[in-house]
Amino acid sequence: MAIERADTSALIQVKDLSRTYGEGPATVHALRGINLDIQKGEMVALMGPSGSGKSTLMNVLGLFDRATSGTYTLGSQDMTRLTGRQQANLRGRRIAFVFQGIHLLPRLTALANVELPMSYARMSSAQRKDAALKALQLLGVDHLKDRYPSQMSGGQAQRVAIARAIAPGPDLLLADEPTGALDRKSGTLVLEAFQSLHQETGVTIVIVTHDPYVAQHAERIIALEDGHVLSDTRVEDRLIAHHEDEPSKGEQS
Amino acid sequence: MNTFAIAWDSIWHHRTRSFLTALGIIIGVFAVVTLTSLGGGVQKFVNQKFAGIGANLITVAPALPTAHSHSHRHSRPVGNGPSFQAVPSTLTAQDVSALNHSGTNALRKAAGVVTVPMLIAKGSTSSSAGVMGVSYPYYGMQRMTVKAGSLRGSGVVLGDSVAHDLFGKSPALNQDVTIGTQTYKVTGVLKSLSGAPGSDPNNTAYLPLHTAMTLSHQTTVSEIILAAASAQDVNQAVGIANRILAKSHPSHNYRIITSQEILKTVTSTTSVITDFLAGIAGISLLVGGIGIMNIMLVTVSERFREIGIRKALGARDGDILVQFLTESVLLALIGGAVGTVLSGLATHIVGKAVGIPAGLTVSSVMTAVLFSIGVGAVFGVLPALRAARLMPAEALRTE
Ligand SMILES: Nc1ncnc2c1ncn2[C@@H]1O[C@H](COP(=O)(O)OP(=O)(O)OP(=O)(O)O)[C@@H](O)[C@H]1O
Ligand SMILES: [Mg+2]
Repeated sequence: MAIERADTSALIQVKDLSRTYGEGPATVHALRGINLDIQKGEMVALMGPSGSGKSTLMNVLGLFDRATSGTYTLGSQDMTRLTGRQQANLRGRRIAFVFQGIHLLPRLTALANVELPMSYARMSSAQRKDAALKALQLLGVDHLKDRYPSQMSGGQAQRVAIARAIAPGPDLLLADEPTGALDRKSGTLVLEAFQSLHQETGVTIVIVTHDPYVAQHAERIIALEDGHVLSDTRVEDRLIAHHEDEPSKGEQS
Repeated sequence: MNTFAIAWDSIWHHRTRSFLTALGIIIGVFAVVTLTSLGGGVQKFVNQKFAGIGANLITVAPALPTAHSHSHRHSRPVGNGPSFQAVPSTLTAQDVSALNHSGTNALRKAAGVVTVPMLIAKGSTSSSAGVMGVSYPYYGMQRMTVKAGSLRGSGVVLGDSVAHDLFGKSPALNQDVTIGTQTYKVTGVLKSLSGAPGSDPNNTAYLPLHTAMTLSHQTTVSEIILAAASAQDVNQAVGIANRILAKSHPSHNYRIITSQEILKTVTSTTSVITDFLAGIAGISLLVGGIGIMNIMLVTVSERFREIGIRKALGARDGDILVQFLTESVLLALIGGAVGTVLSGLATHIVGKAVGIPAGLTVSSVMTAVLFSIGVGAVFGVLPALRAARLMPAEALRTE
């Protein structure tokens, strides 16, 4: 039961979005008509069983992949109509991504990794160094700036990756199971980083997770199943429900 | 991020593989540059030799008459048409004398040359040497000097090896030799000369022109050698010679050959051979290029993840294309540089051994560099395009 909102100030508007893989009898319907509005400044958790289409949706939102049909509007721009070059210009700048695994480039230092999206954006080196250091500081990993990814723990590396995502000041931060490869303790640290980031910068965040504990930190939980939106719950609503009948529901893992 | 640094980093990271790939280019460039440099060396050698006998020299040779044409026939390359020997000579000692007294600065001297079809011997010892009759200026034109006696004598002047063949270590001067039926005194022995193209002056015996003509019953000379004041005066001297000869040879039954023309013929022959060999060597460069393409395709598929990350972070197709092209061009350039250096060494050593002034030239190095860049770019395009066109989702799937 997707919440229908007539709010035109929605940052993301997704209408009837489908993505199929392959052709003929082997066709896989990864997304079957997704409708979603995400407001500016929201922190949304995207949940659902394995294979439900979460990563596929994130890839479309992140402009890593093109939808088969439907529209995706970011701000007021129709993303499905952009050329490859226009998409590249939004990637890493307006839309940033944090991956499940550690996706730092192994042969660049933390600082160089964080500067990378800004150097593709052709920012001056002084500007990008400045922004990179600020982002590293915000995530409490500025002391690692000269280290290579192999010299960091998983949690540290993921926080550097988050710094890299937010340094250019994106409107939308997408994270696909960012704690999936981490142990609980570093996972918590990374999650706290997302939360404080959300509070301090007000950036819109969509985070995919299997972990109900992680989901609890979001303001809104969208559950997918088999390429459909199964439920879309605001945390206030859910907290009330939580009070009414004890073990919380609406969370799959 | 510096594209060049990324490319170098990747090449260095796979040192062994990069070296083996570059080896194809090293061998290709080595072969091409070495061959062109050696070819250039041969050419330089020929040039020097011609400069040695004088770029200012002009040869007047008999030819079939060109009935109504008074145009300069001298541009006809050597060896073309009816052969030299088949044409009965019409050039006379009077022509030599007339040319010798042109009264101009451009045409300084003329020397008649006659070939004497006889053997030279000392007693029963005969020699394989050729016998020629030459007028005195000939020696100066050919930069011949004596180590004993003089060039002005009325007897025979022996080339260095002729003297050695006939007299061994004992002095030849003032000894008697027979040519045909006549006996002559040795009045001069030449210093050894390094071989000029054509006949070997060391293995030739020279008589004064008139003596030789009388001896062999010839009324004409085989050819006339003219000396212009300098190489720059050759064309003017040719004009003067034509004017003088036109009087005695209205049918234009002679031709004029300048050393520049002979040089041109030799040069174009060597350069055709060099180009042909370099072309064959170029095939190995092609093979080297295919090696680069192969390894770049491997590199691209190994680095899907990196490409995916970079594209996810905003790299445009062009950025990725440039990155991989830089890598293939750099790889080829390294191969080209190593190949050029090795070729420089080899050319130097071979040149020394063979005695030709061969070495790397600016143009051979430039060619090698441009070739390497070209090979790297041409064979790098396909892999680089493949990398550039990946969608990030696709690239990131392969973990
Ligand atoms: N490139 C592809 N080619 C074919 N099928 C694909 C491709 N990518 C995803 N799929 C299929 O699409 C469906 C949705 O996949 P998706 O990766 O979005 O699931 P997910 O919700 O992210 O799962 P998980 O929780 O395991 O990460 C799955 O059935 C999957 O097999
Ligand atoms: Mg997934």
